[in-house]
Amino acid sequence: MSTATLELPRKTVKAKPAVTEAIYTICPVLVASHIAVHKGWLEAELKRAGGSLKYLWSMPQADWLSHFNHTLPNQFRDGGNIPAIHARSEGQRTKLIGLTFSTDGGQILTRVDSEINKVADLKGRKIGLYKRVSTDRVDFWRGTAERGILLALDLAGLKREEVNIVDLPVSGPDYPSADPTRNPAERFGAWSAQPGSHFQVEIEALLAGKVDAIYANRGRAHRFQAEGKVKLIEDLGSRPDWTLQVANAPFTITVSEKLAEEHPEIVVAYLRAAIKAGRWIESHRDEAADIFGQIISHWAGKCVLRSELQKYHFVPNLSPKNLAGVEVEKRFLLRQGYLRQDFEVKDWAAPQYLDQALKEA
Amino acid sequence: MSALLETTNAPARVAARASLTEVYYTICPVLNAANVAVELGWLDEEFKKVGARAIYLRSLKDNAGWIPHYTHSLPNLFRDGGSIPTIQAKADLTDTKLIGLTATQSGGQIVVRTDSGFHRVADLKGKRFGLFKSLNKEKIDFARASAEYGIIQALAVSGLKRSEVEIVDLEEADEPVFQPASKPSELWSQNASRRLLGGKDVEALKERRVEAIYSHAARSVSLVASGEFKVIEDLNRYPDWTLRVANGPLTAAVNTEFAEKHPEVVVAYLRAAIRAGHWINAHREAAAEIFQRVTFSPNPKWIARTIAEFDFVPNLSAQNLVATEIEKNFLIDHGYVKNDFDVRKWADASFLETAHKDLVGVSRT
Amino acid sequence: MSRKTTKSTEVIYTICPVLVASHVAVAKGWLKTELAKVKADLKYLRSLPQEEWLTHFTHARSNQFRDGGNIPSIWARSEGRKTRLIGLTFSTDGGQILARVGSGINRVSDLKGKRIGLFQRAATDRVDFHRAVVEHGILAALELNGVKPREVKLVDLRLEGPDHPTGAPVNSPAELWNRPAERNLASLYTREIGALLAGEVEAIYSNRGRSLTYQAQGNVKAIEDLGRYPDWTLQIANSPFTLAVSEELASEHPEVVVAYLKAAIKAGRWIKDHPLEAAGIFSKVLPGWDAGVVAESVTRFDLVPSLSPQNLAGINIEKEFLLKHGYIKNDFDVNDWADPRFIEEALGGKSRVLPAW
Repeated sequence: MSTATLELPRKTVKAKPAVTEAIYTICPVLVASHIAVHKGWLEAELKRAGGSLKYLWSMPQADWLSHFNHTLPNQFRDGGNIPAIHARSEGQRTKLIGLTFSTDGGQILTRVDSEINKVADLKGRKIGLYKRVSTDRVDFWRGTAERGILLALDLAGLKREEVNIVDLPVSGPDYPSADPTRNPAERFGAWSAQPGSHFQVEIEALLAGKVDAIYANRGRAHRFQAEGKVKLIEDLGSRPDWTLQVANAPFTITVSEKLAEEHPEIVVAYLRAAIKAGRWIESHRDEAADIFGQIISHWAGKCVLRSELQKYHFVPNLSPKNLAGVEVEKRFLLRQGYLRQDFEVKDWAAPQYLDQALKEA
Repeated sequence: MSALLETTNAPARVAARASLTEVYYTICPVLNAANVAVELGWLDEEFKKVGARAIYLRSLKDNAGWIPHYTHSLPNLFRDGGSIPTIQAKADLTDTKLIGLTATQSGGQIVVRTDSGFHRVADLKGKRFGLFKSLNKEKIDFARASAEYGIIQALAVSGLKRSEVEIVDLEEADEPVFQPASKPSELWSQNASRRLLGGKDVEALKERRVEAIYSHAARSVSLVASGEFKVIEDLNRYPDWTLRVANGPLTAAVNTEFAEKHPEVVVAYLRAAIRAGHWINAHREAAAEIFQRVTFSPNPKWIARTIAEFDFVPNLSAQNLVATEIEKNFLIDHGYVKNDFDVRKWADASFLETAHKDLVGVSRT
Repeated sequence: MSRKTTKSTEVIYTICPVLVASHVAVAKGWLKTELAKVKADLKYLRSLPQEEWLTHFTHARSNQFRDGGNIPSIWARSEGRKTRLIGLTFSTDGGQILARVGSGINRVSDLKGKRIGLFQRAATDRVDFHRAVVEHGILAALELNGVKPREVKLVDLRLEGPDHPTGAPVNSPAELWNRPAERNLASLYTREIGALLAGEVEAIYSNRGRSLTYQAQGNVKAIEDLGRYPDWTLQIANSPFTLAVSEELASEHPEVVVAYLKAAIKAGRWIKDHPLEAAGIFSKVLPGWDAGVVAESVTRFDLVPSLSPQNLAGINIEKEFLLKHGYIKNDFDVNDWADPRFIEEALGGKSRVLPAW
């Protein structure tokens, strides 16, 4: 089925003889794109549409910043919404083409040997908060943790001034190595092999007694607890308020505006693959747990992955609630100074690609 | 290789099987792989491979297996179940090795009368908690220790101090008599209903001599079903895993001397448990039917829901060892156990390692 | 009422839009079949002219089965209407408290000094069961969070006008609740969500099925969920659902009552083994419910009716609440109201007053 003359509401597409290269990058989170890559469906769909796929991290290290800043004109990105929102707010021309709300918001941890049993016990105590020294891109890690901590404090009736939030600055390179990798599994595998990575600074500070509590997402929280030294005193995922689960999620699928306008068929192809993968996850959650476990190997083990996958919808969408979730995240980032400029989420969202892909998938 | 049994309690018929290593086993009515290994015949199977014969401790006549179940007072005994008696036996009575842990214990709940008007533990300020107290000095009062730990945790998360409530001791003779049984399922069927609905603490709650009691989840189901009681706190619902250390994680232990003389038998025990653990993890509904026979649970559906996320393959993980340490320290601090010891030195992972190696490549149905 | 002759007995049934096995018994035709065996003809109350519909609440007819919310049943009994309680279904999770996203209300304790909507039906021809459910849920949520009722402002959200957008007769519950107007919640339930979104109040109560539908729009969130607590009494919300029958029908045609129960029990058991299909049936009679909640609910709850001690204790709790808050005037003994003989016979002689776990 040729898609060379695909017609979409806005523009008609000129058939191009050359193959269009599309770059993709995916965060280490639970999104269908990972399955689409792993199963070869993404590559197949793009090929059908006259495109070819390239993993961002197979390119030289100088290009990697585009994972956060989305500067490349032919890029797909699926993952944490904070960099995507930040890039848009900085004027980067991207389109929001899908959302996946597949996180539980995170947890607060404290040491087993502390006298702290609930968040309210943190009054007057120290909470560690990661801080990236370099400012070449948004500190999404800090943004996620800061939001989780402030929500937990609020739920416990504590004001920010009643605790001592201690910055844990990290300078130096984000990545242990500048070696290119061919796909996400290889990329994340290389990371988890490295001890003392910059994502360890919070748990190390907690264990060393420098702070009394930290934030972590479920995958890491579970792994940390397995050592027997830390325990959870708050679990945002166990609460009924869905906005508590806005934590660098809903995860955003964004695409460079140039690629979307010149080759909408490529964008539709990406989403076809993601939809197929999302549906497959929902009917094969056990097997999906196995695959995610191989790709995001630093996450908790298969038991936890299995139970996490039961909870979410994995077919990307632009539902009212998910869009509202992006709005909640954006407002938080603005209030806390992570963003300089506001923008309209509804102008950023472009549902026509998803609509088309759903018709065809 | 083979050894004759050297205990005065040994039944005479054992001598006829002198070519096999005689080994006793005892398992609490809990959710662990050993129970399923027995029911599926895998314990016997693995023991046979190493020339050993498994004898259920409670097959001894005249209730002779009851106290040793707690005190580990036989020299060739595997005990698998609640950690409190196992910890006390190691600390004060018998030198054993800790060979596996299973974190499937219930964290426990706080139960009040339906008509009490209490909704939260914080409402129990100034009120009375009933706490079981065994008058039997021959064994550790594990029921009291579990309940005491649970009550203290429930108070801690609610913000109440121990001094803000009253703890009322409810004494019980605690001298049940059992008929000999050839395996656990036979034993526990002997007084099932008493276990689910009875108890001095439930009586006291009914009669308004106390306002609240501790209960583990399986018993709570029947209490609630009667309409007279309700659960106002459930330690299983909190994210904090240290709240759930009540008589758990479940401990598998064996006499040190026996383990040193017959390591192949210990490995065989663990092979059976690991096989059963994998089987349970993959067949939770079928496992629930088996667990119904060997635990005091309301029904298999409840069990299946409860065990949905547990890992039944025994391990000696860091987290489980710390939980055991927490239990031990609690028991010492509250006078249930006299002597301290190092949990990490007590644990011996070598048997688990060998058992896992043996099972590599073996298909697990 | 006709005696036992060769003429058939006309029987009216009516079922609330709630999770009870009767809905499946109707949808699968089993209710009709079982009643036909004892020479009874089944008729849906709403197939009669609209003037007759009030008996869904008042239980005024002498040949009527009613399955659903216990508040009208308890009220009718308390008003002196002679009915027998023949079965109970405890299939609610208590409900949630909703607030607007971005309003700064994140916990129930944030509602101090704020306004919470309390539904109020203008017409007084029958008990305002919805107000009672909402009041019960709000008071429970406040108490759990250490907030006294006088620390918040309970604002009456008055609804004038009819309960249903149209009185045109229909042949079954599915037909009624599937009408576009009913499904778009253009009925009594929209008053509260409308008030919340318009800023008239800062919080409302809602059952979880509808609450998740509202939340899917992204502008409201749940700040309390009574279903997440271990205390079963918090899940009482117009439940346990009562299956009641007119006294006259019960005494003159007990075989018809047993037949109804046989169908309901059969349906309750079938639901356990066919959760997907059951969810499909229920989605047609639960207007505005989120599909995920429907699917989850059919596996979570036991929909086989019973007169278990816990369920009877639940009725007592609801009755006490209604008395205390002025929804009913006269007390009565639930044990006199409940008649276990029919369900015992329907089960083949086994007693059902033992714990049903």
